[in-house]
Amino acid sequence: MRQVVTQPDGRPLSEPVLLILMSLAGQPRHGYALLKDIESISQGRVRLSTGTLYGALARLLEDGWIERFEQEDTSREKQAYRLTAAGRRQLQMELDRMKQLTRAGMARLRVREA
Amino acid sequence: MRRVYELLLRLYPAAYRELFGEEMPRVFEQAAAERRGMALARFAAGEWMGLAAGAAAAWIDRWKTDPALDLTKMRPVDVTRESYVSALDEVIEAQKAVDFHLRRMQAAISRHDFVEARLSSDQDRRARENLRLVRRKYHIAE
Repeated sequence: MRQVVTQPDGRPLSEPVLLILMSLAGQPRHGYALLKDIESISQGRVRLSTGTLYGALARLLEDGWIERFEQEDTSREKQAYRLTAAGRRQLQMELDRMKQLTRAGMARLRVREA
Repeated sequence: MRRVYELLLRLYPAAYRELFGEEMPRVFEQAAAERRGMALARFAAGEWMGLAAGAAAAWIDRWKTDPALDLTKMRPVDVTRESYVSALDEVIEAQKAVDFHLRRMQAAISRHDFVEARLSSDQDRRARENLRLVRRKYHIAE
């Protein structure tokens, strides 16, 4: 039977999505602040184009992992984004998955070196 | 430069432009302001290509989604009762909020209470955005 809600398919998150979730885990941000923070988190390796950023934001909004709200202070950017409880859960799951993979990989390297 | 950006933005589906149409050019402009000369040209070219690719992805996403659900008709046989009922409940709640804030705004305007009218107008906009997101979440026909 068809579910009308789009369900996450359980695949690993793409890098832009992961970085957006990480950035919003710290605090809510608007579009430009997200671009800058993602560049900083990735130590300058990832510079998202606005097309990529907003494509990912659209999917995250649809999945209910982030939400958009209007900032009270009327600086240049009015619309900002924040993580929802579901988004925080997904980020936690993804980081746990990566931690487990890293542990397994490091263990293999140690065996090879020994 | 912003003009070209806005033209390329027209390649996106209307719902997408409605959501991000003001915000994206502003962010593009802010990022462009940090660059000069060749770095700016490279940045702009990358952005324009990114927009073209993003528009294609947005259309593919739209075509891949399930057919729209029409809540004025009977539940389709391939849609579960639970998801149909929760879609119906959420849409009704969101529509109620839109109606409430619209009525409040109209009442405030008739009283010439423009502070209250402005507040209601902001809440009305938020309620409409919420309704649009709920419709999108459940692929409900407008």
